[in-house]
Amino acid sequence: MELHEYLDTLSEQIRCKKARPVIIEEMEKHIEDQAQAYRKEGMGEEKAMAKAVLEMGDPVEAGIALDRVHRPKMQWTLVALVVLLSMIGMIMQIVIFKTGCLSNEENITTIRDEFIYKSIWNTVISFGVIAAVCIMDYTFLGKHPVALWWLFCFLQVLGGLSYMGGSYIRGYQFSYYGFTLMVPVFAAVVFRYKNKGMIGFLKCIGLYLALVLIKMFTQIAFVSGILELTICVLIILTVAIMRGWFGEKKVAKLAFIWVPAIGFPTILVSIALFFNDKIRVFASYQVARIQAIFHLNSEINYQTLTARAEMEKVTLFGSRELPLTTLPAIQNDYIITSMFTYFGALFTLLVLGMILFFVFKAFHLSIRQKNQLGSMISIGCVVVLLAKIVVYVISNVGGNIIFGQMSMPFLSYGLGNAVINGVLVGLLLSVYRNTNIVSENNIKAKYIFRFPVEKA
Amino acid sequence: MAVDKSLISGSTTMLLLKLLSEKDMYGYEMIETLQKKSNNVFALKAGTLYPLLHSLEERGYLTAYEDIAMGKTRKYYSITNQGKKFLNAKKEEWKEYSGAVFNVLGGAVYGIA
Repeated sequence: MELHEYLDTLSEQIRCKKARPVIIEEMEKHIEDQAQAYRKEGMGEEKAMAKAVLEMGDPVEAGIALDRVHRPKMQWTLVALVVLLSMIGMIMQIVIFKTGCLSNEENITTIRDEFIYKSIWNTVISFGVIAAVCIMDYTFLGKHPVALWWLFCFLQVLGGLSYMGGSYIRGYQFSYYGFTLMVPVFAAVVFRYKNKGMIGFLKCIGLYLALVLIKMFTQIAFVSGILELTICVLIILTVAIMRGWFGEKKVAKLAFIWVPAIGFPTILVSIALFFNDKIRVFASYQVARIQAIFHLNSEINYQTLTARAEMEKVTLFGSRELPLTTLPAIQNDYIITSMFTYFGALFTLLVLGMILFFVFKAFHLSIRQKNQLGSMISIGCVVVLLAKIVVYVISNVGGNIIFGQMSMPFLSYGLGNAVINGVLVGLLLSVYRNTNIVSENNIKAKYIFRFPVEKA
Repeated sequence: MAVDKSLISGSTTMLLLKLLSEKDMYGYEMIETLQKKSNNVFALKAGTLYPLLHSLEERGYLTAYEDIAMGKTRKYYSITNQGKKFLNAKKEEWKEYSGAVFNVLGGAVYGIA
């Protein structure tokens, strides 16, 4: 049997085509090593190769054994949790619509039915997105992450423009969901600059700052979105530095990102609290907001106070009542508060416990993921989910934070939320699914074109 | 020297983990080292080695990385902490097993004598 014959036969046994190249490469190198050893013993070129191939054993047997290892796999625990949580979210939304959050409207039943229909439809779409993204090969993110980053920046400009053009809500949502997806893209960008030392590190920071600048010039204020993204970016960079992706001097690099990250806001807050009379950097409402966080004034946001008041009424098993008249758009913005009042503390805490379990399970899998690109992308997905969840839950139980809550992953009503969360969960599952299939090396090998690489 | 195959496959995992607990190696290096250390008793086939390595990697006992050795890029395997724990458990199991075999054989010998 000849070398290629052996390799072809072995390759055919492995059903998952994406897994083949890496395995075949390893096998080929092994045979070459063996042949070289035989040549050293004095054997002729051809004879040495033939003996080396023979030495490998049966290609079918080996191929079948390798096929068993290199199969796509599913993280069924996460899948089950997502399905369960989405169903709970959908039921909660339907309860809200049935009870009548639109009671002021005319022809109430038609509108109500339409919302219930949409709620179910969104859940179905979310499952569809999860399945589609999960089956997709996530490594495309690793191929042109920088181009993808600029594309998203451009989309942010569009979002900003429509925001300024008057379509407030659409522009805002467009930008916000864009930000969410930029987190896994940033994770891929960091992977792109892995092993590029200080220059790679600075490029990552540069790309992040480019986005901040773009946002500042195309849109007046977008504090929550930027803050959320910044925290995710910081965590991703921290993981990359700790893993030695940018070389040595880890402490210096950590200081380089964390000192300004903590220092800059500290300075701004100090200005707002103590010197704004003289310098006038902030508008008065911004100062009031910042003061509220530090409990320096009594003008806490009305909704925060209402949420607090609602939370005080919560019983263990719930009162089957919703904060319909006191809080706005509860199916989007106060679904946790609603769950607390309607189904009670016990049920809601159980649901929150399941969400936390999902996040920790996903985080654990991401950290342990052997494929570095996959690991970083799923860390990005987990971090952005967690950031959203923390902000949302704090705001819903009456906590006072500078972030505005958007949508609760898994639970809140809305097509955008369903799709974006579907993408994040889908990516998590795709990374896990491909654990034994794709390798970092064939991601790099498949680059169609390379951005110029500086010699550090 | 040829040894019964089943006897080898049961303990191959342990032997490989033991080799890797000393230093990181690539596949060919493992076969070579094993052969040397066992005075040619363990002539492991690549067709057995790689599926085993890949499944150990999948179970988290090994990690793999690429490095250049003698001008060639190789896939190196490295034992994880989990792998070390597994190796210790396997060693204990082996001690118990081989002790039992020894006792039985010893007993049989005395019986004949």
